[in-house]
Amino acid sequence: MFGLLVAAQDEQRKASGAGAKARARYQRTLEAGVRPRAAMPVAWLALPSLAVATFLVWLVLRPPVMTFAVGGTAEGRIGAALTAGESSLPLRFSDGSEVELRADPHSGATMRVLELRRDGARVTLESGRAKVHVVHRRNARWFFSAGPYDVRVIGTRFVLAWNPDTQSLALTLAEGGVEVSGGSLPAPMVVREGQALQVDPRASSWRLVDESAELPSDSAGSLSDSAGPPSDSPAPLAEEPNSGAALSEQMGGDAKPDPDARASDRRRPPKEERSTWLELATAGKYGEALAAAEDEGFAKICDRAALSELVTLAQAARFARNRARSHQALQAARARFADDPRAEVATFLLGRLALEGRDYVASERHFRDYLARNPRGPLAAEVHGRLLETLENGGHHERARNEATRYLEQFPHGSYATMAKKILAR
Amino acid sequence: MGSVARFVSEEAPVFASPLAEDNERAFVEALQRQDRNAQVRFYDRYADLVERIIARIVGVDDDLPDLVHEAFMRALQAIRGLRNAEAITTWMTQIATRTAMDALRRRQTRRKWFSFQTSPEPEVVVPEEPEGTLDAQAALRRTYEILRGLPPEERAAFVLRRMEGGDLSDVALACGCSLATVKRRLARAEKTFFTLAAQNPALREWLSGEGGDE
Repeated sequence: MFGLLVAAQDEQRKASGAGAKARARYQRTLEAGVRPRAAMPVAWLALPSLAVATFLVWLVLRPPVMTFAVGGTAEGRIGAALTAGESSLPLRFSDGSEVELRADPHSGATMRVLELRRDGARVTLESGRAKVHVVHRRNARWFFSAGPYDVRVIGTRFVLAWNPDTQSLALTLAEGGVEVSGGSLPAPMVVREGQALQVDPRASSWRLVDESAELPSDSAGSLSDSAGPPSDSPAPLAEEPNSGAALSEQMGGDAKPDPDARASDRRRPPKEERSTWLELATAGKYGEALAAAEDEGFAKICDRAALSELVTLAQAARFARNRARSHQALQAARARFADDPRAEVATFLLGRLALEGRDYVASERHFRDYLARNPRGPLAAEVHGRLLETLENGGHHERARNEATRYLEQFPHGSYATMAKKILAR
Repeated sequence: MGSVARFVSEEAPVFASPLAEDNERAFVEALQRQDRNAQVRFYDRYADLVERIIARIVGVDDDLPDLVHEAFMRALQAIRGLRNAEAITTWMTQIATRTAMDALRRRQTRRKWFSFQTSPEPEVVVPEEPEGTLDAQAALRRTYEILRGLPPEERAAFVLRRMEGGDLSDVALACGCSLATVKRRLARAEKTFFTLAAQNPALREWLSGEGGDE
């Protein structure tokens, strides 16, 4: 049941580079010589007092947990909602860092300080924009979040803007660098000095631009308001003219402008027409979402929607127990985004849909299709497991045994290892 | 550091070896002699297992490389206590599990004793989100937000059983406790986890697959 999450964590683990760091450290330690544990020498008896002394010194010298003041005077409380109206609200932290909360023209601004530590803080921007200056310190760790996005900071100046209504994020770096992850971004993205990142999930696009080349002139090189959040109905980023200074993509990916995707995006109906079913689907109202999609023209949506929207539509139809429509949306995703590796998830979902419908021939075909193209893809372990389940439930016990053997060789501790062992033990 | 040697099991390995070794005894003896080639090979064989076990229990964060390194150092320092060479994989799993649990305890202690100026650990609250809108990374974060509320022993048992797919006896060996104890821990952890996960429809959907031993 945790198969997909386990696959996601394995991807995250590999992307973190932890293995390479640990290996390098291990090799350095070997070169320095590892000694087996010896009997406790007499001198070690003094260790407790030494530890106590060290602790006391550390207790005195360590930096204090940060505090912050709101509006220049009031002491800030962790978790309290901080709101800015017409005038901005300054927050001053004890390490010298500053955050200025500013409201949007169309909505207020709210922020909370979730955690204060000795080396930084965790702040969440619920709406509006925040002008941030984090003082650079060794080992400083500051984290900002806005909706599903996380921004990791060491020392920098930037403006972060978040519009919860449109789920769009804008970040402009004036100094230093930050790493942004989460939400609809395909992978953590480093934004450097002079760059701006704009993410608009509704248009299924993100855009990393050289601020001086792409943004209006009044935003360049400053922390001006122009870096602020997209307004209530931002123009889809993918529809904006592109230049060599900008990287943008539908659904993220390998950061290459995709003219075809953009052309496809331009064919979309206006926001009012296309958003009803999507809003209902993302609100969890699947039956209503499917009905709205039918009203709008299910086939038309399949011809025009972005990949992420098609997957959402397929899931909505599945939850609404309309397997045929779910299948149609997933087939459209595969056909229209055949060159996009992310569309492979549709192949997996088609296999799962067939498995749920006990169409074991189709589910095996889809899972094998996925594995043929993505033998080491992010869902490979999950697909191998589902394939095992398909063969077993489909009555192909001998082939299930062979698949179980292969599964255990490749994923000895995978989510389906127990099932594979049971099949082999039978 | 606690005595790692007490986790040395005389039982046959349950977590399968990454590679089939015909001569495990010679390999372990080489490690006990501090043979450099064996030490390098030791890392190659178990790095993925150790990193994965620790990542499952603690989560993927900046401390992961340090914890992997710590596990291998514990192993190299305790290798002389390993008598059953065939049990080396189980033994390594135990060390990785113990290292991860110790890291969780250290974090809890730090929070408890050294952060007195901050507010107490907030109650675990899983935000309500529209069903079906979480991506895998977000679902993973929610999962670990819930796991953060569990005691290290329960968290390790839950993760090894539910995410790593280990048998109860495997999990008991890895956690260094009896089968009855691990069953109790697992029952408590599952009750807490699934109660909180049920409050989040999107996470529930992620966890509702038919896979594994569900």
